Amino acid sequence: MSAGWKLLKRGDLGAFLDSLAAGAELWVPRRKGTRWDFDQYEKGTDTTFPTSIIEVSAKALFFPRRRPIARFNPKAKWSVEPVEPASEPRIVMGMHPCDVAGVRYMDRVFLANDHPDRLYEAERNRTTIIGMRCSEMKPTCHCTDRNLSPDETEGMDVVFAEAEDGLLFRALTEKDERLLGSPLLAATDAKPEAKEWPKGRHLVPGPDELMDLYDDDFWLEASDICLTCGACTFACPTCTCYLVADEKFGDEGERVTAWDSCQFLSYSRETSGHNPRRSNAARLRNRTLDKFAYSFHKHGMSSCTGCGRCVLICPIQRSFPQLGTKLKERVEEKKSKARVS
Amino acid sequence: MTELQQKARELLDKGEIDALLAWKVDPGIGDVRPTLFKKDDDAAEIVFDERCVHNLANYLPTLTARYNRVGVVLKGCDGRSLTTLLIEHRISKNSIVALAPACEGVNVNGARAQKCDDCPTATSPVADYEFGARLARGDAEFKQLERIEKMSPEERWQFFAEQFAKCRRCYACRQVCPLCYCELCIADQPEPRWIEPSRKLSANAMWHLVRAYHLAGRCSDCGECTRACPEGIPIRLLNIAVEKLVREQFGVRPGTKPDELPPLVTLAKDDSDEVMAEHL
Amino acid sequence: MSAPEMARDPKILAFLCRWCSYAGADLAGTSRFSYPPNVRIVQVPCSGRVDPVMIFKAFVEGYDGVLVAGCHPGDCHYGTGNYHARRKLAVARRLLETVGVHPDRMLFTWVSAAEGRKFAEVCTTFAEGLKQFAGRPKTLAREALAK
Repeated sequence: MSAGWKLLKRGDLGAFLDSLAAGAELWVPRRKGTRWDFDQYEKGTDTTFPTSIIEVSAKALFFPRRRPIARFNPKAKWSVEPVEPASEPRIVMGMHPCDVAGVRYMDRVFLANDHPDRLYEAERNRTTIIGMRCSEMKPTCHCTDRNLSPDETEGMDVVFAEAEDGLLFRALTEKDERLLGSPLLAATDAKPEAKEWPKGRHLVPGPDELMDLYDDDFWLEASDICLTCGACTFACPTCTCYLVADEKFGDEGERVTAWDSCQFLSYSRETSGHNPRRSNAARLRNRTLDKFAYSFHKHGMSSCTGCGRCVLICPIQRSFPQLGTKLKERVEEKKSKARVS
Repeated sequence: MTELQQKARELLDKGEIDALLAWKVDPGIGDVRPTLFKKDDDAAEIVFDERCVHNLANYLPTLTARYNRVGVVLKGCDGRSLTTLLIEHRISKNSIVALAPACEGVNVNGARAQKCDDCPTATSPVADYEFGARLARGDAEFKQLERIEKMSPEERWQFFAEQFAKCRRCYACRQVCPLCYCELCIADQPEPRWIEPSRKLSANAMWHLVRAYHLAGRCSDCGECTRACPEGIPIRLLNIAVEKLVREQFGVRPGTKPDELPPLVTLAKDDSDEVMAEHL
Repeated sequence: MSAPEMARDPKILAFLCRWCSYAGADLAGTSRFSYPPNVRIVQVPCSGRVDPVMIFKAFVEGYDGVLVAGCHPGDCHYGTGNYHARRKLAVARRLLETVGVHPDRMLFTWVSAAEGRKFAEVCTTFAEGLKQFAGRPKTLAREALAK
């Protein structure tokens, strides 16, 4: 059950954030040079919440780019100590519905199995998500084609939205109502503007149709200009490939996980030198099928959240979702050929 | 149709090339995109203007492995990349046909790209067909280095440490570079592990230093690495710092002369001895 | 994580070529010319073998200074290796200085097999010069593990 909306006047934002930061680590979007990122809130700083996505998803807050998992010391009789998970309460504010959907997908990858990732679990357990409804969709956004919407609140603990004279907040669970207990928030009958969101920007064939295209020549042509640089995988809220490496510091060492990418040539290279995904085509196919087919089979949901960051970041404007349109065309082509023969 | 489009159509129709790498406007993204034109495609859709930032020479090694002969439209900087690829025998001249329009410069993020001010060859040095007069260019001044040169060592490290710390190790810079073509990149070599894969500052710095060194005397200054970087790291600064030395001490601008070997492969007995501490 | 600082004596990594500078270092030893203790020597067949990547790595591993010494121009055992070295070292120095490694942290020189005294003097002067960095963070050095 959730209560009604509460209004925070624009001028009171700083004081409200200060009060949130008093009880927990508070993370908000911050502009760094020409780019935005999530950073820890500092008392007294001006904070803006962009009304649509920022370049960086909040993936790194739950699944860091470099994460120590154990420390070892050969000189101290090879002692190995697992890294202790973080436990201080944390609030992440300003994640949009696609980012939150990304975290929901990561929950399935890291938690819904026999060996839940305890470090990821700790980050999830200590974090309260104050998600933000989008006021606009960027031209590259297509969450509405991925069973999501800019108003989606699933996965959020509290949701807020832009309003004429400030920000409207609503707690989605009873326990999170206390977050909104501040006297700066006043109950109101006002609601965020209901909007019609465009659909049909980037449609993709269904999982089974995609699997039928596995051996098709389509991938060879489609990967013509792809550089397999991996920028899309790093920007994506649901790409979770990582490698494990041991790194030494003098006499001690750390075992770390670090982001990896299935787009890298060496990603699937085996010790013998054999590489099952040596070609650009094989890697593009892998990424596309993983997002739109394998994730359905394994986790029951598409791992594409429609955030469009892959399009924004691609050095050659590859437009990964546009691939979907071409794929649909190919599916239709095959069907009509089948009918003829 | 422009002369370039006409020539493209002619080459494709006659079968002199199996495919042509050029640019086309993509209405879906409202920008141009590198496109492989085949015989059935409409050559009238080929565009060449200030939006055409991509270095098409990057695709040539893969494309020439797949097609007998590939046509490619090259700006000046792309042409320097091609020249080096030919000098290094990465591809052979008879597998490509180079179409070289005169380039007036390209735009990045709405403004003229910095590299265009330092361009020595606005038309590709390797050209089977040229379109438009060869534009004259001045010598590079590498103005962007002035700011760094004025800094003390501590200030320089502060600047670069902040930049390198942002590096996501996505290797977009490497993938977009025509001259980074190693089968097994040093960054991916586990034994010996020269560059640690995680994004610690020291490992990130190592990656950028090693890449800049491996491009020394070869970099065509196409600026794509800097444009492709999702974090906005000014990678080009390292490349032009080296290029400035290569020009001053070895008298070479990489890729400008089709018969000139890269300076780090050749030697001269009368190179300046200033790097050696003979004053001690 | 923070960059480590220099300990009491600067740690120097020296790349010496087998035919000239390594022999010169040997001669310094047999002639009892003293030079600082923290010079760690890596013997290479020729100064031309020294890859700038190794120099970068030395700084990442925490060395305070890197020394490279080869045969005098014209005297290379392999003919022209040292000319290649000179070019590579010029690029290496330019890159390292650009990112903020202090020029005094790198010393490249020619040392012949007969120049035992020169080798000792070069090391001594180099180490003295490195003491200016005492207590300051080592540029590029791998971060220390947080405690």
